[in-house]
Amino acid sequence: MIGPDALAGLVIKRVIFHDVPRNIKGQVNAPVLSDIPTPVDGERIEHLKTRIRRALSSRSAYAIEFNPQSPSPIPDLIRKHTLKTQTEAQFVKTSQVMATYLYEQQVGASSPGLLAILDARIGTQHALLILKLEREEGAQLEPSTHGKKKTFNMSVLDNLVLTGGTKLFKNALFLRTGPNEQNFKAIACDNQRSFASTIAMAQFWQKFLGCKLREEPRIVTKNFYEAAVGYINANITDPVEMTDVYEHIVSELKSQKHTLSPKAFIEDYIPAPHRQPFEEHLKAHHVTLQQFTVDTTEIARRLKRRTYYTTKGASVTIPAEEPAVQVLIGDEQITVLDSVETVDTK
Amino acid sequence: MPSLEQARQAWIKDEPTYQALGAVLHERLTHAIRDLGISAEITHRTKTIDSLLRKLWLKTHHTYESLPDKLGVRIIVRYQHETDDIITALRTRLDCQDVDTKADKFDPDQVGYRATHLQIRLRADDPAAATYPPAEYVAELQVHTLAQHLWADMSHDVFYKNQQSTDPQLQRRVYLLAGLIEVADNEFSRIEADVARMPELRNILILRALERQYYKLAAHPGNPALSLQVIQHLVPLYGETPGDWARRFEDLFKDKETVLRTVFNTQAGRPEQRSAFFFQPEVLMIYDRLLHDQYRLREAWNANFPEDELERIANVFGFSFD
Repeated sequence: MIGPDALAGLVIKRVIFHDVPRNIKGQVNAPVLSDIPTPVDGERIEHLKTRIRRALSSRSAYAIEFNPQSPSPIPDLIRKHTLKTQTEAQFVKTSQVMATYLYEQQVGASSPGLLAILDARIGTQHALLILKLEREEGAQLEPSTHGKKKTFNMSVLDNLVLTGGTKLFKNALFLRTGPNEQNFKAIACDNQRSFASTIAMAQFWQKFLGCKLREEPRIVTKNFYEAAVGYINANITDPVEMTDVYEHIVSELKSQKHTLSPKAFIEDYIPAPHRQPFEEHLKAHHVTLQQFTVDTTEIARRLKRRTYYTTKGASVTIPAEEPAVQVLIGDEQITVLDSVETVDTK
Repeated sequence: MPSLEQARQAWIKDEPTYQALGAVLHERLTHAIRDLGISAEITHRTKTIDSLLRKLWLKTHHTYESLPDKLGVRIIVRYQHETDDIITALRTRLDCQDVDTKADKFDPDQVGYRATHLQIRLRADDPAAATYPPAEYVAELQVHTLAQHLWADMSHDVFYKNQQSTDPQLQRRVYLLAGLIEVADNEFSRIEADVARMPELRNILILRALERQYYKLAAHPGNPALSLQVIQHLVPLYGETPGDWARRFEDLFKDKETVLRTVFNTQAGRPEQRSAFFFQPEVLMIYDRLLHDQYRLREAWNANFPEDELERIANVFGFSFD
């Protein structure tokens, strides 16, 4: 996993921008490709790093890996580029191919934007960052020329990256950890992902990158559920608090959102004294703290609840698939075949 | 005897080389002292032509070649024991000779200027030794405490007047002043040692433990009042107070040295963007809590200090609050 230590040591060597419009059928347009990297001063590089760290260390970040089934050329470009130190010309060429591929994919509802490719390193390991910066439809970004070479100047960074207003910020970092094709650590962040109206939109960034989630959603969802419930049972003694947290777990997993961020869950729903121990418990059970795609296939039965509401205002909720708890319904009475463990008076 | 004019011409030619050697020695000393975690001010200077020629005129036993302080380096520390620690460490990094602790010359009933003077050269295996051959290039190193430094600074004015004076009252006043400096040095050291044995001064002990690691990374002294305020609010996050704070932060430094050095180097060049709380020894305590208890850290911090300042620190260490 690429953690805080690695992100703290991120060194950016070169930056290049390409303007990639939406690919609309029947319209004649094309990406505006830079011929040379953008000259960037140290201060702007530091600002850029701050934004990258904020995104890739955030609750929305998720670990990815190359998808062998993907038709995307991006994994091979990354593999080749990070194998050894590349010349500026090679870097420019790689980035242009990436921008052209993005343009080809950017059909339908995909937003136009600037594609930024960053040649980087962490310690002695080569790294490549891919950022997509959304811009408003119709907004023109004029490249400037240096000699006869075209590039976007630093004002692009000021307008799109360095202001706090750039919300739609997709990015990914690939760190080469060894000579083999699979020796990579990778992490991505896509602020649109949780709110996308369709799965296709939610997965656009991964598909473009030729990647998939490192952890299979149905497994990581099951692991999260089991570890979280395990913590509650072992450590939260107050029945009200216990029920409350349990209901939040179920509610989050059953919600319409495609993703769940354990970090966000902890901040939003775990009582303050339990936050750090809960996080440690998840780590000890090898549950990721990064955002994951929810897939309840493995735990669907355990999440189902059935509630009986009586005419006089009582309610009884039981796990729907728990055979040990039986509810007998008569004309005048309802009987729960179970023993009382605690009583909660609200 | 070579004329002053020959010495003048030689020094015009040689001075830039000594100046460059000064920068090299400065760097070697900075690294050696940082590794000890001691707060020290290091300066170096080459003699001006005037000063060099005057000294040759007055000290007739010296030649241009034998003058040992054409390049002078000075280290100023807070406590007497730190001078000993520094000299011990320097012996492994530089060729140190002729240790001259002025106090060693005094009889029990005498007082006067106390400081440590050494002649230093690059070691033969130093990468810069080919440029500045140790046989040829020497510098004079003075290691002072702050109190000794005050005396050294003032003595040019006071001491030489005293030497010229036959007034016993004036001489007595100068000796009393020298004694006062020595007493001050001893008392500062004793107080420091006593504080280390007082549990009620826990926060000061924690600050000391933090400083020991912090000065391995930075030369900027922090603001102690702010340090104690931050420590006061963060100590409860450690639950059962760890018995050995020094060991805790030493382990943190060992475990995260690469990250810490990278981050400190980057932040040194960003005075306008970095957090006002960064170049403070307790930044190590903040980092420790970011690693191990981020939720309660944020809660405790936000109740007492600006949230944005913590976020700036967190971000440079690779954490995000987004």
